[in-house]
Amino acid sequence: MKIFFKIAIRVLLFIAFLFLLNFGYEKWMLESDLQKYSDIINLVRAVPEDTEILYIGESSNIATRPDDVDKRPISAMLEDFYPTKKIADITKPAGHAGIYYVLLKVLSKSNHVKTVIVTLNLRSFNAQWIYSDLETSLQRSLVLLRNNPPIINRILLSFKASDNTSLAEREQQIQLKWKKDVFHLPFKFPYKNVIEWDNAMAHQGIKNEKGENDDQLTQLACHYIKGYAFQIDTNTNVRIKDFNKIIQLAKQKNWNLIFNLLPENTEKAKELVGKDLYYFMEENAKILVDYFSKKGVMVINNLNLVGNEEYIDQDWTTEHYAMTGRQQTAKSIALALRKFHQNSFVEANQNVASQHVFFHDFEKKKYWNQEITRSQEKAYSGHYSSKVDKENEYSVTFEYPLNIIPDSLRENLNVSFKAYISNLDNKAKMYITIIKGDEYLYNEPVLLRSQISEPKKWKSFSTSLTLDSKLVHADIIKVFVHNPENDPVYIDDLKIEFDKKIE
Amino acid sequence: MLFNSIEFIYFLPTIVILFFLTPHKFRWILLLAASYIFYMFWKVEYVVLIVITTIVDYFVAIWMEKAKEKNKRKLLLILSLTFNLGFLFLFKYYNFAAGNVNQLFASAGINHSLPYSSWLLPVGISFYTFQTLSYTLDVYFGRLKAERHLGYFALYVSFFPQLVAGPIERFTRLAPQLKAKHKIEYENISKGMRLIIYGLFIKMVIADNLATYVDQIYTQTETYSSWDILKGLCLYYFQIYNDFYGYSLIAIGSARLMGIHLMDNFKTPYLAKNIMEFWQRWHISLSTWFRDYLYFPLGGNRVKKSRWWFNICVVFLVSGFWHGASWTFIFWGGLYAIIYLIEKSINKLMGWGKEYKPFSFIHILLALKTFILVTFIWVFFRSQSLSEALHIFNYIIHPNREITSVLTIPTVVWVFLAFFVVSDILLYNTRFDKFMDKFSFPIRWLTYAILIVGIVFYANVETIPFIYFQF
Repeated sequence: MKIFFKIAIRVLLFIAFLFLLNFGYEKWMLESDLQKYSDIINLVRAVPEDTEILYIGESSNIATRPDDVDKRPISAMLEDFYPTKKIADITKPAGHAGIYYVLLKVLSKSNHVKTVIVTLNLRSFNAQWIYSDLETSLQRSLVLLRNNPPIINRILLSFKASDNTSLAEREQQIQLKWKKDVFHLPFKFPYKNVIEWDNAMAHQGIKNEKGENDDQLTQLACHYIKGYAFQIDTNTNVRIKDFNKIIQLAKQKNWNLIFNLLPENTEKAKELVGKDLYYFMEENAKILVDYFSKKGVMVINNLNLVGNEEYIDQDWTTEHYAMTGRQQTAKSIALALRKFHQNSFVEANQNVASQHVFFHDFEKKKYWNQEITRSQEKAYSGHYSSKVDKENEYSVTFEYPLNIIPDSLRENLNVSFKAYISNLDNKAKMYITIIKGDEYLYNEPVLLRSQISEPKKWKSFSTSLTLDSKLVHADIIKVFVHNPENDPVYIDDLKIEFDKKIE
Repeated sequence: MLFNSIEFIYFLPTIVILFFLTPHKFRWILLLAASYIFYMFWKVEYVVLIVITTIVDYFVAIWMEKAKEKNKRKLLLILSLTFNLGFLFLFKYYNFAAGNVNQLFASAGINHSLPYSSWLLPVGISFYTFQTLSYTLDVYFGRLKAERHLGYFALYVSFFPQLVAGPIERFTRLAPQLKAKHKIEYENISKGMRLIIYGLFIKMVIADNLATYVDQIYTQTETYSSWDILKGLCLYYFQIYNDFYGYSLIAIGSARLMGIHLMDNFKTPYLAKNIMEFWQRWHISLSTWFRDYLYFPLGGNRVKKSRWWFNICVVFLVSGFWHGASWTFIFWGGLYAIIYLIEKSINKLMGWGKEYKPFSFIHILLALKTFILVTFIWVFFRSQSLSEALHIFNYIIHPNREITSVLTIPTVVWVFLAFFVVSDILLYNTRFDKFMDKFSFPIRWLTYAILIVGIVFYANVETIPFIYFQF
């Protein structure tokens, strides 16, 4: 009996120690750990309390093409249709329903969200995504967000209590799943599973105009087969279970729930592989729509909504849409949203007018590239500037299709901004880059210190460029500051103006 | 299941509690089931290999004992060796052999190549194969009576604390302990827990944190200065030591909770005065295995000098090959053989090699020499190929290169490393569990608290597998 008493005393001592540790951890270390290991929490924290409609998705929401005049994400485009509604987004690249569920769960209880739009990505149901190596870091980033005392979560993190399957094992899991999943089709099909189909495609190849094997196209066709040639089993697919958890959560929180089945490049799939692959895509879309509709969720089927030319990645299978593709998706969602917010809906004009003067004071998001560098550390006007240093070497970047600007104004380019540099040795440079196709027609840097004579003060920087006959017909123009050094440089009130040449 | 995983944190106490709640005659069933479950956490189907190995060696040993004729016994031994080493070859060495054969074919202009296998290497296959081989060989040489209880024999092969990375135990040591009736004892629980906590600390906090910086050096060697590369090589010594030593301590501690004593696997190896002593202090269970089952049968040192040299070379080369199916490991073993023989010759010539007082000036000097030698030899162990290893040495001796990276190691990592070095010196020729006996309750608990805080807050959250799992 004595021994049990001795052990019990020590167990109690250990528990007391854990309580003490929990107190100290929560008070002094938790926040820095969240930023270090679970900065995904910031996506949830950024959702304003008065949000009414929440869009949650992956990179399909935010991906842009250089020639996009309107670089806003799909979620922001929804605001055109619901100007009186507060719409926010949670966008986690490579995210999927399992991640969305955790993020939605930790959403503040006092948040006013009424409707949640969840991205339903067809490929996220396939083996490649389910067993993707990106899962290791994604799942790890969720450990500190679990519903446990903070010290327990920290222990779980240290003891790797998340899916940390090795790369080799993941590859084997994918291969095994592909091998096991035999196709069941209502028509005669020469291949038993995705491996056989993929091998056959790789073997026979796709011919180019000259009748030779086109390796690039063949590889792409193989990617399409591996990405879409699967049949969702609603009883066993883990992603289905994740979505079901979201449905349960929405019921508990009384949210209206919409699943947005993302557009896929069905045109390319048909062109490269043929109608058989399209059958798989359509069949899976139908399974998802039927399954979740029966569970009372509104599912928007956008599978065929976006045409091939609107897909940004022409050499890979992604759901990254150029401006028109995002606009079409936003409109489709907006129309569906009428069911819950009919009174707030307005017919929006999605035509984007050309501009020739652009200004960013960084106070609010404008969806220019590199807005991740917006910082409150220093500002010339307002509260924000763009902070550029070794961690984020490129400033907020202006990127625009040059041919949109009227010919009469496409003669001279003026760039001006305020800059703050800590020391005059800094080698930060401002770049104007003009691109036609893959060719850089102009890429001349200007050292900031060439115009800034005093450190640690906001100083003006300006430059002009005459667009000669060669440059004037370029595709894209970019303006940004590059600073690869530790010492940060701050940029504010960036203005880009096209005008007539001054004779 | 990994020792540094949350599953093990639940698994171990559950098994220990069930062990003491289960009547003695059924305990082997519990431990055997636990051991198989422990292994199946990694890959369910590969437990079949352990079961086959167990069944084959169980029956072979009994038949061998019953067999009167020497030839029959030999035949049975060959059968056992074929099964055990056959699996090992198939899963561990086949691709290496196929690669070399294919290269030979290609250079001879033969248009044929052997296919490569995509099977994953079963974790711990080299360890449990050697453990069961020692049993078969002992029965063959008549040093041991064949075990009649299949359950206990199966448990000897698969006992979970030492299944995947040793210590490689002998049947005569482990089996009687598995059969003995153990009562719950405070000393066992206390010392077992001490070893587990210290083992987790040195694996998760020291080895895993060092791994990040070692990987940087080994993946982008050319971008670092010679000094940074040298730092990286030293850190690898500490990484692999803490990684394997940590594992061994957790294994010993886990078994100790149930009253089972496993053998020590390390004794402050970096304070060894020469290579011979290094191998008496590093991975002791493997060194003694090779001594007993390879070196002695070859004749040991009771042979002609040339034959003895040959024996030493064979033992080190086989030891290198045991570690991995690659020329780097064979080279690594070969280097040890050469240095061992040179050291022996010099010592004999100069009359050195006598015992020195621990931590005397001469001891420290010799230990430093051995440390430097071992650090450089590790390069072949860690590199993916011989050319990669040679490149590393090339970068070290050519400091005037374009350096684009700097090895920046946070202070906290240095502090933990210094903490380990000091504590390991204090543990010279003793062990953490015994060492802590010297101190009062508050000091002991303060030490545990520091170790636990280290594990919880400073463990590397990335999954860094135990290095010796790949063997």
